[in-house]
Amino acid sequence: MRHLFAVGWMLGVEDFKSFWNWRSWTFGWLLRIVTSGLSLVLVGKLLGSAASLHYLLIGNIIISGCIGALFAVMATTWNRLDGTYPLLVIAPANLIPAVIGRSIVWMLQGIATSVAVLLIYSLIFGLKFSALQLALALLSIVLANLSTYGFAFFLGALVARLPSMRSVVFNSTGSLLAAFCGAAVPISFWPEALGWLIKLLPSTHALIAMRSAMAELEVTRIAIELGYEGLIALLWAGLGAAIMTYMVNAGRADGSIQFE
Amino acid sequence: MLAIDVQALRRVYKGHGKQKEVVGLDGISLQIGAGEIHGLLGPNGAGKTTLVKVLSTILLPSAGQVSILGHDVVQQPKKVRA
Ligand SMILES: Nc1ncnc2c1ncn2[C@@H]1O[C@H](COP(=O)(O)OP(=O)(O)O)[C@@H](O)[C@H]1O
Ligand SMILES: [Mg+2]
Repeated sequence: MRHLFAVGWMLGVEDFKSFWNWRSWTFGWLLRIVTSGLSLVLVGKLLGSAASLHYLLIGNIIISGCIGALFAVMATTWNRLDGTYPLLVIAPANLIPAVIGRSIVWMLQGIATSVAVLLIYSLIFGLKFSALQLALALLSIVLANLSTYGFAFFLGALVARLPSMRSVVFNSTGSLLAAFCGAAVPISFWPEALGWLIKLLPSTHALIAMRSAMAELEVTRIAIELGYEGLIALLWAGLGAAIMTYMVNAGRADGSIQFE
Repeated sequence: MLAIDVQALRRVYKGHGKQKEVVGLDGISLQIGAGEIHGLLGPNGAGKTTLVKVLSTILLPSAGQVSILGHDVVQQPKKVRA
């Protein structure tokens, strides 16, 4: 099982290297995500208050990474396109560690993106952190990306048999998270009926934690929110694993698993 | 112990459109001992791929019994794959 994860990981690194080189990653990806974030942030600056500017900066730091982690939606379905899926089903180890091994590199992309955006914004806007604040901010970033990865794994499992849905889901989920998780507008903006759903989405709790870390610094509250964020990661990853297992069994029954 | 033991294996697929169902394999039986080498011949649509899929646990039989080294492909797929 550990072995298949390692093989998946090696394949994931190759996927990443064929998707980006350092130049396209820096200028095609990071620069694009920073400039699109900046345009939103500058609106905040025009609107006036330093508070709203700060609000948007923190929101962007988290959401930029989450968009990077959402590449895992596509990565979890690549085994369906390249013909490795039947082989992974037949393999003595479980399919799921292999899929996680291959797609988790995109969670690291998300973390790296958030950290880079945090550095760039700190330079441009003079964000200041104490050592504790920085540690808590980094922890929030890691957990937001972990749960976004879990959510991406779930979405990938869901759309595995609908290839045409993959890019739609990938493209719209980032905007969905940006809109609903308290990145650009406070959660209280949305009808209360949506509250429970918003609290199940990845990055909502990490954003609350990071905002508290940067302001009143209520350590207990932060710990609880980060704990929730970890649970959300487990929830979505667990659901994704259940769907993947269900699809193997359904595929064995209906004859849809093909040797390419 | 037999490497492959197939008893009265049948597999039907859901048909498309008017076709109600397609019979991929209709009651095939065969026994292969460990270390034996055989060829699997047949015209297109004979069911060769269907047989190999059932033996490799990515397709469930509709009826009959299939075991690999004594492990049933339906009851013990993990043991078959190991
Ligand atoms: N997934 C499927 N859905 C419906 N019918 C199928 C499917 N796979 C195979 N069949 C049908 O089952 C029969 C046996 O096919 P197959 O096992 O692929 O034969 P072979 O590999 O010997 O050419 C054929 O009539 C084929 O059309
Ligand atoms: Mg064939």
